[in-house]
Amino acid sequence: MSSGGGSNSNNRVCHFKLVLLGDTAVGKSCLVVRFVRDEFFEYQEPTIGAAFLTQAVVLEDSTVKFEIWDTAGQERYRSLAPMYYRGASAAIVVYDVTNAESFKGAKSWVKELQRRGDPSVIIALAGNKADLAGTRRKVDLKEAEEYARENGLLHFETSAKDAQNVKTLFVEIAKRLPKAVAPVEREAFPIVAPKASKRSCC
Amino acid sequence: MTSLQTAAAEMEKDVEFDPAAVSIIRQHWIDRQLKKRELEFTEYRTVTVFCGTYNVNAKIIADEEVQRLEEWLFPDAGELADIFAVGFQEVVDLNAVNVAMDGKSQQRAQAWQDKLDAVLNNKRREERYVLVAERHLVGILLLVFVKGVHSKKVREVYGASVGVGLMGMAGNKGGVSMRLKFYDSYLCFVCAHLAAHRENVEGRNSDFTNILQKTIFVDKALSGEADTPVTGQGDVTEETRKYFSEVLDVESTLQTGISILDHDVVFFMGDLNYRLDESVDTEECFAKLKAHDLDFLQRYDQLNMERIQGRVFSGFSESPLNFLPTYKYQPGTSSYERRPEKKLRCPAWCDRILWRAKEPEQVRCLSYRRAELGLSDHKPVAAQLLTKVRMVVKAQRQEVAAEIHRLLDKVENDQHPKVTLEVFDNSTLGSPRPLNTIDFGLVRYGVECRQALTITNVSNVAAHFRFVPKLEEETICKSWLSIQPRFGMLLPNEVGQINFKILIDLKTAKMLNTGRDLLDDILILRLENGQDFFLSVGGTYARSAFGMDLEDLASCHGPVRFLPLTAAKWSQFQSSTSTADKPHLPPTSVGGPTLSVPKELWRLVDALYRRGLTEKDLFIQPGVLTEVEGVREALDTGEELEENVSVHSLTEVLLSFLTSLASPVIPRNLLPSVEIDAQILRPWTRRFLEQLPPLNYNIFVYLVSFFREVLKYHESNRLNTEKLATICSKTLLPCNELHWGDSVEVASGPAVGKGEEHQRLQSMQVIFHYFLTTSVF
Repeated sequence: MSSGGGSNSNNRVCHFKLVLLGDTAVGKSCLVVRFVRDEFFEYQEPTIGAAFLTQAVVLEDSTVKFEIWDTAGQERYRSLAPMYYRGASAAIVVYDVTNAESFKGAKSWVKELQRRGDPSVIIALAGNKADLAGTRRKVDLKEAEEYARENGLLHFETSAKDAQNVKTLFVEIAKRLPKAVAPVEREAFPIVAPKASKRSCC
Repeated sequence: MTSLQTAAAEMEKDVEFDPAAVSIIRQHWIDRQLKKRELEFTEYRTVTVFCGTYNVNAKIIADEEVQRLEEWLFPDAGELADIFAVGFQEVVDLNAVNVAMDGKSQQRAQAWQDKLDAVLNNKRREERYVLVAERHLVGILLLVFVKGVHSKKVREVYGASVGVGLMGMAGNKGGVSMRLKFYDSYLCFVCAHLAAHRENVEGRNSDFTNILQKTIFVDKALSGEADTPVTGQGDVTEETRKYFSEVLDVESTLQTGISILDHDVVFFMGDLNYRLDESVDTEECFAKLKAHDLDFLQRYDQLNMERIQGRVFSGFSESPLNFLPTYKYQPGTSSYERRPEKKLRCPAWCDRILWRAKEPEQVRCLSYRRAELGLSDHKPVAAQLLTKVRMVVKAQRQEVAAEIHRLLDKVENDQHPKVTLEVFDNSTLGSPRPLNTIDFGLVRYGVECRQALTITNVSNVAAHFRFVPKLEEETICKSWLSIQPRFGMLLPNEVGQINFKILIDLKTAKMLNTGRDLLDDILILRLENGQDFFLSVGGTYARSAFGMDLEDLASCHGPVRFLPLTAAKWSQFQSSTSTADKPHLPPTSVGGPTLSVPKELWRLVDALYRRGLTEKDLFIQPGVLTEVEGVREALDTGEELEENVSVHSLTEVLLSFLTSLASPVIPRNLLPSVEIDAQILRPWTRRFLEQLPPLNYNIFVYLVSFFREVLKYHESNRLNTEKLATICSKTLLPCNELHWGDSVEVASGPAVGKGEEHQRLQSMQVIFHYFLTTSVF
């Protein structure tokens, strides 16, 4: 035993299933590849199926291990999505800031999650391709923020290409996931002023 | 169960794969990696720890004199200590009452606590101290204060007491201890009062050993909670929990207990009661004291001698005794007790402070001295110890942990199997197809179509693949498709083949003809511990008269191939014919009044009538497969039947056409429910004909008339009435599971047993025989 025990109690790893949803070609796979491998490919083949990867996010007091399911965005496979969001603790609904249709699509994904997903699922709305927003923006940032606020979603504009907000997106989700109570918190000793009533230490 | 079976079951349990175990081992690995790299995220902070020990001989200092404690507690110069660990002995008389009852001890402990607090938090100084904890056992009292600025850095505080006095357990002698986490170091403070009397060195040694062995810090609250989840994932079985109990985490450690020596630094103070060796004469001692020859006397200090011999306080350090022995004084004076009426005692360094650090360089003694307070027959002793404590820099630690996890994630993700899929392209055009589409092209009734896909393991691990059903479905694909194999394993670089076959039989044709199903499906090919692939499988169904409903066929003048196929359009047809419970074709497709018999039937019968009546073994000999397919195709597309087609192929198509009808020519409810004998045959058959629906009547009459014609040539075609009656039974009656399945839903009818069913078929044979031989129409 090291140092009287307990020195490692805050490394606790909690596992959570996370699913990426959204219309086709909004950049779901690119976000995952950027997050997991820190890479970006200008041409990413469409996902026809559901890709599985794991990646940990180390927080101050715990570690969240994401089991990530990146799903196909094509409309043809939409009916298969419940297989992947069922039992998910978190979902990232992605749209493309240069494509207004994809934002409509994102809203319908959110609606579906709210109706059929886990009631406690944490949903993050990610407006991807933010690097193109300067010239080609079609989805108003304010409007998206307002929608996210009304629906209790996290919201970020991300860019898998220049990595903007990608890590933040996953970290913020990780922070909101319910972790088991770390033992060290319970052991915090309530220090009393000496004048207070008698107290012995155990 | 035999003992052998039990053993086998037991073994099975042992070898069971346990994901929780993997998770715990992994967690342990991460912890060890972090520990190895501790220096990368650990900073050291030097704090001053004041340790004081005072045997107060049951005296208590008056409130107006508490300032005199300052001389003991505060050094002449330098900063005030960060931690005050103050130990007292004999706060009460060690009489039997006080040993047995806590009341007086409690009261005195509180009094000393208040007085110390008053001194430490004197308004003249800015520093404020807060009490971490107080613990006492009869006369022994330990108080630990920390500077207010550190109060949030004190955690995991536990206390323990061990009595070693009378019978080894009463509290007149013993030790009280307190442990805590200060920043990220674990500190332990022990205040002890060991066995008295100059000659009793062994008693003191064994008291020390007892205190070390018996002091166990346990979290009672935690030991009560057995079922706290420990890994943050999955269900941890009791066995797994037990197996890994020592590494699980702090909870299990605190349940089993932590010992004094487990801490980074131990501060040990108290009236340890070691005297000068008996070889030193008391008068000689006084002489040496007068000459201030402390070096000489130190050499004869029993504790020093025992430590050199390695018999006690192993691993502990102490500063040189550069102060006069602290015992025994005339109370209230600075004179050793030499009054004639008192027992003459050799002065001794009873009151001592030692420390033990896991890393010895982390503690340095700034001062070791005594104070001159005259309250007791002992003088108080104090040590100021510069102690390095660990401070984990959370951000740096987080960075290191993230690096470790990144490495782990990379290894784990690389362990996922990966495969590539390639669809065999059968088309001569050889145009590349998307990898996930298996297109069968035009699919005809009764014609088997095959496609294949190669699957190549391009990873370094074995790939286990299998097709899985979609959510809330039970089968992996629709019934018109079969997959071989449905699962398999591939070693790295191994290539496998998956075969797909579509065969439209009468069951599936019915669904496809009515548009309730399409030749379109998505398969989920799962790579265990890897990704899921979606495979689109489909083709264009060539609509066929086979498997259709009689009425639909009769209302269709053109070839059936060119009728719309989708469910949506089909439902339009249904709504346009509100009375019918079966789907009918819309007026636009009809192009005229309902035909009296389906044209497909007419075309076959007509061809046979013209070419086949005299054919030997008519209706008995099977046709040629390719010709059969050709005839079907011609019927469905409206093309001419080929002239050279064998008559047997035509008869085979005719019979299969009849059996494939969505509902039989003779409905099930018209089967006889009584045995048919010669007496009732005639009236029964009349009623039977009356009850046949018009279209079915037409077809029945048409076919029977044709068969009668066939019988005229029985000499050349070798048919007879029996054979034809049997053919009628097999084709016109409910003859497949769909027909029977439909009729089972007629709940109002009486339940029909197998024997009874057979009986009905027998009767129908008689009836067909009658129709074939009698000119009733």
